[in-house]
Amino acid sequence: MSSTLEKPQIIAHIQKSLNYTVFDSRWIPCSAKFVCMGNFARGTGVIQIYEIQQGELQLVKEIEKAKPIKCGTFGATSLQQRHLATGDFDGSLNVWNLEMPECPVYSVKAHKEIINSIDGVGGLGIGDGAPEIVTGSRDGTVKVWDSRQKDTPVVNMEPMEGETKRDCWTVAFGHAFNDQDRCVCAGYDNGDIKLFDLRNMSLRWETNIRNGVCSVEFDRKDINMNKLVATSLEGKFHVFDMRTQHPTNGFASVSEKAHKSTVWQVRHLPQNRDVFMTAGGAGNLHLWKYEYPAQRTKKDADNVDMGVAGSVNLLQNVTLSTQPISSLDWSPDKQGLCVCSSFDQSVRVLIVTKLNTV
Amino acid sequence: MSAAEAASALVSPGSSCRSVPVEHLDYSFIQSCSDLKHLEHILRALRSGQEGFYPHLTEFCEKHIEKLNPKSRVLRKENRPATVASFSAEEWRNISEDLQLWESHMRLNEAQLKRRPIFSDVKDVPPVRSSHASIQTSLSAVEKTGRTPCVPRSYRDWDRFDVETECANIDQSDRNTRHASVSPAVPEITETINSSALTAQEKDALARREKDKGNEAFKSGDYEEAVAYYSRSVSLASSAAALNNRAQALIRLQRWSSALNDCDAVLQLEPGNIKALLRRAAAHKHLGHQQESHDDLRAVLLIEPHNATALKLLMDETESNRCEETHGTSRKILIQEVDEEEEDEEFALLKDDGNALVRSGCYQEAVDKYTECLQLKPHECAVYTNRALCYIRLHRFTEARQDCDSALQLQPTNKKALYRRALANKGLKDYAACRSDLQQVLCLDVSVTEAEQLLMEVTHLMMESRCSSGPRRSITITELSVQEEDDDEDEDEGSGAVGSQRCSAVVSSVSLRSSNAFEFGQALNGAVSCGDLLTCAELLRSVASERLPRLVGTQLDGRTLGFIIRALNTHLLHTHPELVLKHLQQLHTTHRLTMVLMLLDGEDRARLSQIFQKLHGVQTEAFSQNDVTNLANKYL
Repeated sequence: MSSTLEKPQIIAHIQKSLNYTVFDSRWIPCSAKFVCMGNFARGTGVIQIYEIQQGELQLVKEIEKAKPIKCGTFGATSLQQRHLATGDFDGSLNVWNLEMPECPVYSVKAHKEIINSIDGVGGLGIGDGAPEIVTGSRDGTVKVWDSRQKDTPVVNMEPMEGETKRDCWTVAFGHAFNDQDRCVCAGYDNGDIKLFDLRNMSLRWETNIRNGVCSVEFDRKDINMNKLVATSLEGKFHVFDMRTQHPTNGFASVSEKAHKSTVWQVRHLPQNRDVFMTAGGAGNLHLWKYEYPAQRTKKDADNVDMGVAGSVNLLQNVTLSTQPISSLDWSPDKQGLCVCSSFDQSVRVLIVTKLNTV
Repeated sequence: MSAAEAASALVSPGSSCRSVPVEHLDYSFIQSCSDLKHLEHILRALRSGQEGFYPHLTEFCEKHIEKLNPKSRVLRKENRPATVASFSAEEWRNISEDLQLWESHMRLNEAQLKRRPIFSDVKDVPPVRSSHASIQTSLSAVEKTGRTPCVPRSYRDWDRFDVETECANIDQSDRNTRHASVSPAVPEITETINSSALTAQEKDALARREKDKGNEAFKSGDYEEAVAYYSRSVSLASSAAALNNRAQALIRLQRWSSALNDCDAVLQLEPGNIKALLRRAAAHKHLGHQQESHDDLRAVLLIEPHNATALKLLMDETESNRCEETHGTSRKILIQEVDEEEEDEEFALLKDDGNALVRSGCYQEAVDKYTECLQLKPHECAVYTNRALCYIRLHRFTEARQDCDSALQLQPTNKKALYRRALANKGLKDYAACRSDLQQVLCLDVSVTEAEQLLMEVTHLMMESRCSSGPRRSITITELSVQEEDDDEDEDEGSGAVGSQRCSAVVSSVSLRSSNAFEFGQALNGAVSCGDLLTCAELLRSVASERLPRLVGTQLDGRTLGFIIRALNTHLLHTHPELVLKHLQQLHTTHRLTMVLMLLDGEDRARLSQIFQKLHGVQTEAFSQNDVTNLANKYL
């Protein structure tokens, strides 16, 4: 038992049963609160704000909206304003001020179909450059929005005329290390992963991992892109080393089979970019650590640089419920604290110990 | 093997064709098997329960796989989340207290954040992305194996084939194919951040974040990037930690002067920062400033005497220094005398220096080194003994003896200290002390040959010195048996000796304290046989009168008595007349004296009457003439 206690332990600190289906949960930055977004059985959307008080969750506010809400992010607001950007089942993007949630700060009908995924960059002191929001939808398009520009997206990544649309299931920002550079990575249901470069307005890289891509995430948004994790439908996830791009082979990657079911989410620890957690369809969470190889680049036959992927170690795994864990979010203020929501209509606050010795 | 598989496939149609034969589900087989894949199959078969439920065998198989490959996927188990019960009370208290502290802290922060006026939030935000750009993506899946089926055109399509348009299409598709733009090697990270519109709190938070980014880059080996992020952090809010880390990254990039500047800055902020001192020492070393490097390392050791890195670097430095001052002579001294005990490392360092110097013959410098050692640790016995050795070689025996004394105070049974003190005493010609020390050594350890040899030497010297000093009459000991040494002790206390040339025979000497008639008799006989009047006289002189009858006792015969009388006559009469009288009085009480008197020859009788006559003439208070007359009558 002593040897297992030296590994990080995942403690189920607080669990709360909700009366609605919860799709996403996010920490409010610089506070001990988080928001849960979902839909009531009656078909309306809900945003609930909870605060941790003495080991209990207190409901601070409940906001009901017309359409069910699928996803949300705080990524594009300033630390003081902390506006929540949400995408709903109807394809609308709204930015809310949680103090005055009656009227959105910014609203646009972003897509024709449900917004599956949303991400923000440029706010909260993360990433230089303009604060932007990216949305990916079932209509196959990925659009980047700036709250200063009404009605039209800043960038629109869409399939060519006549091509079949593939659902975009996930989007992520990355490579935002200075004012101009920025990349958007999108994962589709047929296994495509595409990397768009917003500086050059071009498609930088694409690959196919054969199974639908449930979630992509860069390890840090605001550095020269280092690693990208993409999770898939059939229990696998891939870690790409994004430092060295080979002209034909693309990025080096290592893949790992886990969960024995869909891997729904991947989230990197904000305090350590080499530690990440994956959430599975069997209600389990796996905590991983990436180890870099001795040499991150090597020369191939034609003396062109190509990347070398490292290895992934399983640190800990727990089974929380029988239903898939749909969302996971690490607290940016406290290392090891995270909130996860699952389809058994409950939200859990977890504490992961011993992460500083990992 | 395949037949067995086929057979098992027939028997249990549900199982896969790669099923494990039943014979393999066995302890000995699993133990001997080292093929990981097969073991995993075995484990799956066991777990599936198709052949039955064998928990111990399953566990055994798992353990075996774990030994071979701890990271094997089959070993992953489903765990329950940890709860209060899985921690000790202490740990759980820590965790919950930590969380509560954090909660309250966050509430405060949030309140503070809300109080700030909103308009301060306006900062120069970069403009909206100018072009309303749309990136057209071709959703053709990139097949790694490249098996995109290319449907051939039907014949009718060929009729409609237009070369021009087709070429244009090809050109189009070329333009639309993805161009893999390889990023430039070094990203253009701005080294400074415009922080005019941020509060101190925000600046601190940002600075910390940049520092974290720098740390991560450092960990994965991107030192240039790390330096850039640390510079950003420092531009926001200069902190010792960020500067320190940047120094380390610069050292890895071998930019020594910049690293030096950073270390100086850190030490200005925090003068006692050990990491900064160590890094500065490294930078100095590579720039060639040996002295400053040395100073820095010594400063580290002052703060933290056990610092391993500093000691290692220091040793490397002194190694290189030592190589420079090579000595021509290479006299080999008894090396086993130099202690190599490991105690404190820095202290050990100085001691090693000293030892090396001893080996190479520079005793004075070695003394200095040992003195330094003692300043560090004044209770170190070995250093004292080593320094004593140096002093001995330098012929400074007093100091050597002092050091040995100190050493013996710390460790009373230290053989080396005793031995060296013996050497020192020999140098100071204090042979008695020397011998006692040597004897102590031999008591502790009989096998020390040097001690024995030295002892013999010293005893010899001692004899000679005693010969040269006249009034002290001591008996020379020429008997070479080991038992001598025990006797020697006794002899020191005052046996007289005469450089008797005549006496070549074995002469045993008698101690005053020996109340043994035998010994007295031996001595007397010896004296008589040699004709050694002096010895006899000495004996008589040293013996108490009362004891004389007993001592002489049965030995008394004519010759002996005659001899005694002669001795008394010649030697003692002048000096100790009372003694003579007493002796004679006592002698008279001896058994058989009358008998023996008859055996005296004429010469002796004459001498006896001479004695009495002289005694008559002597005027003392001890006896009167009457006594003398009485005694004379008795004898004659």
